[in-house]
Amino acid sequence: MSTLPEQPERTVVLEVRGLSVNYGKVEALHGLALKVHRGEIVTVIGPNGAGKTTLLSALIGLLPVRGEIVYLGERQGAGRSVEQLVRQGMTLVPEKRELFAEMSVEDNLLLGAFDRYRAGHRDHLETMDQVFDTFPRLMERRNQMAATLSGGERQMLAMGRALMAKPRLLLLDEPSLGLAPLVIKEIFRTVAQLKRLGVAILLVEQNARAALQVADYGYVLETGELSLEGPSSELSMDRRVIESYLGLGGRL
Amino acid sequence: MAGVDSPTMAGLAIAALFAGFIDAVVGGGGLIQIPALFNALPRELPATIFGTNKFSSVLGTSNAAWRYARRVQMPWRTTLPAAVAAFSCSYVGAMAVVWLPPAMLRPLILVMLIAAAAYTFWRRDFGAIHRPQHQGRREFAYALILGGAIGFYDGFFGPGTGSFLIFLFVRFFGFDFLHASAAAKVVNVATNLAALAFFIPHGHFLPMLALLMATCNVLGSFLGAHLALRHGSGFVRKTFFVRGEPLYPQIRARYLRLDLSRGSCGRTMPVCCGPVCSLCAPENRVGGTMKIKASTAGLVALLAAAFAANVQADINVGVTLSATGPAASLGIPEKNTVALLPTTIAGQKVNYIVLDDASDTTTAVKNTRKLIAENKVDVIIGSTITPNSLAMIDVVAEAGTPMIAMAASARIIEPMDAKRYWVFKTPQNDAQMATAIVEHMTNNNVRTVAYIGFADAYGEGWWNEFSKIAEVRKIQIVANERFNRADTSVTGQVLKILATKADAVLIGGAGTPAALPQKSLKEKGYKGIMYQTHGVANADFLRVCAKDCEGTFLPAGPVLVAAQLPDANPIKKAALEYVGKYEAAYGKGSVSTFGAHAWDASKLLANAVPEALKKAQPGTPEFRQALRDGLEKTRNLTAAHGVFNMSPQDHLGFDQRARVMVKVEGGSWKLVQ
Amino acid sequence: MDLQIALLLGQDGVTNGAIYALLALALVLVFAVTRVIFIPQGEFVAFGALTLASLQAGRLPGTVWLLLAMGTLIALIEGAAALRKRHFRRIPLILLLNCGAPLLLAGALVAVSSASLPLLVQVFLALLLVVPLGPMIYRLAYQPVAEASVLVLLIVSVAVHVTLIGIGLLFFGAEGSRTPSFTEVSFEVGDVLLQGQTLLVLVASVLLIIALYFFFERTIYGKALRATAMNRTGARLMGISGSLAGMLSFTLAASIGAFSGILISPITTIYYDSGFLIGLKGFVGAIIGGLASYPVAAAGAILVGLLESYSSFWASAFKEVIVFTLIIPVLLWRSLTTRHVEEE
Repeated sequence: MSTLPEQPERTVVLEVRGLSVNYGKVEALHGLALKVHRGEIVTVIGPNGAGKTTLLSALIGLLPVRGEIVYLGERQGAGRSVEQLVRQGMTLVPEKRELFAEMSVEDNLLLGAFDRYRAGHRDHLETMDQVFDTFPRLMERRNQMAATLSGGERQMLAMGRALMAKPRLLLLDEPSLGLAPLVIKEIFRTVAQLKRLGVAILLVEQNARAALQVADYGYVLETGELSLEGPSSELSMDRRVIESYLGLGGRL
Repeated sequence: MAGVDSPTMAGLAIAALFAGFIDAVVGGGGLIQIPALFNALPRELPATIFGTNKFSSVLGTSNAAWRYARRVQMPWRTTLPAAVAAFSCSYVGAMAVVWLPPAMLRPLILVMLIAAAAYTFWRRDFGAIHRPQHQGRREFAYALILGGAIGFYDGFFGPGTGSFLIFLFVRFFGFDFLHASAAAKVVNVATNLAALAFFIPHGHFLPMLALLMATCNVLGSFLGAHLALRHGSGFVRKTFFVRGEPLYPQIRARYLRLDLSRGSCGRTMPVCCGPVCSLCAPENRVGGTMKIKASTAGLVALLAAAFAANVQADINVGVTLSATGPAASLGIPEKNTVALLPTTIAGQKVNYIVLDDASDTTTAVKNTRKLIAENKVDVIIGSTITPNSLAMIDVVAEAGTPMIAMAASARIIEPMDAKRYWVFKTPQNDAQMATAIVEHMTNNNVRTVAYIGFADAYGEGWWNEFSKIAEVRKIQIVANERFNRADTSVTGQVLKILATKADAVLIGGAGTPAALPQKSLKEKGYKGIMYQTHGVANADFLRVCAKDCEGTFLPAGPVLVAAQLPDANPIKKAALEYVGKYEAAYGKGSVSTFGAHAWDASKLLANAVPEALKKAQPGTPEFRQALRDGLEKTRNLTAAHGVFNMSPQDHLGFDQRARVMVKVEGGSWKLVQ
Repeated sequence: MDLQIALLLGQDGVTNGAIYALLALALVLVFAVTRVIFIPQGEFVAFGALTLASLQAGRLPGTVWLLLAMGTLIALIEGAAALRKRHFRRIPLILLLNCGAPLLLAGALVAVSSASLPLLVQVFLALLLVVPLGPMIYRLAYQPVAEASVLVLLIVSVAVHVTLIGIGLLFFGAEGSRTPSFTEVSFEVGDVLLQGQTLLVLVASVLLIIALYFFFERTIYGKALRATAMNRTGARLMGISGSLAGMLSFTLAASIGAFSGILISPITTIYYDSGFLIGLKGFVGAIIGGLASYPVAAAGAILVGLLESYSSFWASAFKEVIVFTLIIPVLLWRSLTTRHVEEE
């Protein structure tokens, strides 16, 4: 699905150094550093209120930041905007899904390709077929209003809509939130599938067990700071992680 | 002061500077400051924004109030109760900001917006000719109610309070604009203080920022007041026009809002009302006129005083006319005509002192007093419109100065009494015009007629005259309809008229709006005779009405068709003289019947002055008395609009030669022989 | 009142109502997408009509200067921004779009005597002059405060409205204008003539409403606008920026306004300030629709037109009073029953 030309295996898609975000006077994130490579799933786990959603909002340009963000080898200036980043292939699937409730599934997907359409790419129908391949359920519901979908279907639609933009970096915010275990399983299977398509994924999750299962590398975010990092296989063995996030609290 | 960085501070300081400036010049500065604050501090509570805004504006307003109080005698009897009521209600209003859920605000404002617009229309139908002047207790009660209502509004929302106040003081207490502005400033200080008394103790207030903005606001207000007093109304006008240009991009949004200074005293509160509005082009319905007037008044006083010093020995003619405001389309040709009037009569130098009353009654009265007291004028010409002229009668009678009105209503000179003893006029009475129409109808076998007129005093006035005379002449009126100047469709009225199958239709409207019913009637296939009034006698009407007005009849002064009058008619020469002079100065086709009334006034003077000069020196009461007597003795004086034959009972002295029937033919006016 | 009169009044009401409905749709659109209560909507009606009238009289319409002035202003602002961000390649495009195009248009108008052009070309030129003012006004007046509260945006709207009225007076003078009919056809209904032009207004309005429907339902840009109205954040994440949606909706609103003006100027005299009244009645329709529902807004606007028409027959002196007093209870009812789930 990727439009990138063949590149050496470990191309860095996103690199963040010393990233801080303020909400008014309160510093929500301080001094974060993380890296996402091409074709890699990186997860950020952490408890509620640690600043996970803030991190993604900041990355996509919805919040002003201090520090250095290098995306696709280019340092992001102060003038960065959501629209510009979307144009450069960064896409966020927000925690609240933010679907167009009174539009059909098909129209929701179509609008996912809006920016590509505007830039002159007219391949949205093919892309939509690919999305339907990935989420056959959406195919069945294609003429239904987004508001009438079930929770799992909504998450699929949100992801499908994001994929319509043919992203290079997909930011996933709590895809498991509020979903039944079986559905969560299905969603994460899809996430793993996407990786094979060459998309870099930054997955933010409270459901640490599920996240670490699909991710290649992980970070632990606690009260606005990264406290731990490592390959996910190592992290899932880490005592602190097991105690805080995987132990009895693990749901899967 | 969380999150206010220095660029934001600088931007807000500039906004405050502008707000103060605008407040001092035209009012409505709050409409700049509040959005600027909302814009710069999106995270603050509305109450905090309002509180900060109030603090900075209270200093500016106090400053302005103090400056006014030094110059103007403050009408404390009305102002004080209003200020006290405003203070308490403003406090309540400020509480409401904190307690009301913001979600309620939106529909409320929408409703307010619509109500304001509806009121605009209602006002047009009002047709109030003079403003009521409440006395004693009623004035007190009004002051309490109005002060309270405005106070609540100011505490709650705020923008435009100053303009609202001025409007109300003028409307309900008959204040002139200068006094109204002064009183408004005092009440405004009270409301601001009250709101602050609420906001500050409750912590809805950013002290540093408020101080900074207050300083800038005062600075701006000082600058504005200074410039306005120095440069007068011309400067105020320029302020309106400059406002669209950006100083630099960051403040462009704030800067654009300066326009609200116009809006706040404009659209929702037209100065336009009564017969004034009906007879005029809608030229000055845009906002801002009120404030211009206020400052014009001051400027005019200065100019007049300067003039008076040089011109003692000559004949001084005071002119007050409506060169701005709703009646401007009549006043401007009159003003142009005054510039053409002879500067010597019987070898004596004549000085014309021209003041603009902006179509406003109180200003006209004030102008009259000024002309008499400061310029020691020997005679007054004016004003353009009936309400103004009526109000001036008392003043000229008291001072024993003759006055020649250029307004139409017969009430200016009838019934004759001790006061009207001093008053003359040059335009034909409406009744004369209506008689001409009725006569023409009788001669053309019109048995039934339908009337459709403006839904205001012009339409009403014509209806009264016309229906009276038609009844006498046994013409049956089968329909009486109204329409608004701004209507886009009159189909309903036209269908009703069509259903009556009337022989003729009379349209009682003025200017281009009078074309709409005529065009609709034609479109719907009406075949009868159509009549218009002399209010349409200008070129724009012909342009808009085009071929649908072919064959329409209207009464008018002979000057409209001067060239077509038979050579035997003495008026022809007099009218052509005026037309020739006017068009030489202002271009071909520029002449209108309205300016000729000023011309005729000067004809009357030229006729009466030589005799009066023999009896007394200009500038003395004796001369004025002699001049009045001379005017009354005018016999067989041919002027542009007719032949004057005055008498102690008739201070107009026109006969039927003063009006002709005109037909629209080939897109121009044709005399009906 | 017999049936024939009732029908004719109905036809008149529906014709006016159709224009109000168009404006109501534009108002709902602008509000839904940008939260701006677009009071200056009516000014586009007046500007469209008066620009066409100027062209037909062979005069250079004042709107040319407005277009040039606003274009230059935007070019300066955008140019400065581009310089700051070092996007030098964008500068020629900015200049061309904002200064070049209006200059070209002005040049063409000076070179060609517009009075002799065919009517349709004149209409096209008038639209070309007036419609770009919409997005330009958005860029200058609203975009800098796009995130402000509805109240602030409303205040800005009042400011823009008053400015445009003033500019209109400056450009077109206090007297009104009328343009020649598009068609001279007329039909006889009973013993009353029915003008082809009024039917044309009706048909054109309905066609435009249908075209708008297709735009919103079938094209990706129309869907993008609806999406922005439904979910601003969601739309931004798809790369539909607020300013793009704003520009687009203002372009549509300006087109609808100017087109309405051109449609009605043959059947009524338009003054520089007529637009406000017409816009206000559209606004009333839009409010009946809660500034959210397109069909209800259109129906409300037609209701206003009918009410106006019948009351002008029965009690012409009280027409406006009847229309506006009957509206106020509707407004109260609406503001009491509408749930406010929105931000503010």
